[in-house]
Amino acid sequence: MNILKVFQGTAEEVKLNPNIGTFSWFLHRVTGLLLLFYLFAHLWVLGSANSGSGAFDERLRLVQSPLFHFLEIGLILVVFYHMVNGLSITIMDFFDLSRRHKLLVTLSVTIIAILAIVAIGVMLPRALHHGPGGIHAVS
Amino acid sequence: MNQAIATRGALFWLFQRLTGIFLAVFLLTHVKVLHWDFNFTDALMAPTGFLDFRFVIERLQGSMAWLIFYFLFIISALYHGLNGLWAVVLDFRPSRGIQTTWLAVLWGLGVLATIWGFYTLRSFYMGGGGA
Repeated sequence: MNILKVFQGTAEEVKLNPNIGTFSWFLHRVTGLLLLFYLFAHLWVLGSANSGSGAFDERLRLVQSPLFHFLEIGLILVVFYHMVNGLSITIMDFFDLSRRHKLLVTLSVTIIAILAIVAIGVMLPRALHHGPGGIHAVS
Repeated sequence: MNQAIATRGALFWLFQRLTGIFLAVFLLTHVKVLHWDFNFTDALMAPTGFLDFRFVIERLQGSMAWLIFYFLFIISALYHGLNGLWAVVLDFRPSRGIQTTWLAVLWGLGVLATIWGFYTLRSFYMGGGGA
């Protein structure tokens, strides 16, 4: 398996079928890989509890800096995209609705946009917070 | 493709869909309980100003239901993620040898991460430190 050919193949696939289905498939793959990476990183952070509550607090303080809160906004977008698109695929598979694909994608995009706006509204103040808590990790 | 491989493929497909649905529920519950409800400016809830061990312990309350919830969450997430990665690898039509190697790597990762996750959960229920 030549890795270069693999990427060329994917690029050709997108070029040959530049429709909404190809892009949602591609984004689903990319967000899935990002989330898998995040899952292992998350398990590593939480695993510090195995060395005691002090070690856990120290590592959690590290990942609650304003920088990480900004990154969490990206994480939320990735999660919502993968979740809503995945549920949309499941609905299509289970209820034989592939002919309604475009409608489902439109609905998914609307739901993702609403969820993203709410999530950003919650996360931005945390990222920008410079009170007693938010600045701890960088002080 | 023989019947056994086709049936196995269909089962993996079904479990991928089912774990996806479970994960949506698990994730939203987890975010609500441990993140959404957490107010880092509340001096009582967050005396250190950030989400800490004490807050997690308070939320889980040593409850067996939460232990089962998080164990199922970890297993579902690992299955869904690693099976998804397997599907990505298969998309590129690798040779039989590469497939076998990848499958072994993914199984190894899954088993190790499950043990690690369960050990971590146990630490939260033992008050930190694992043993």
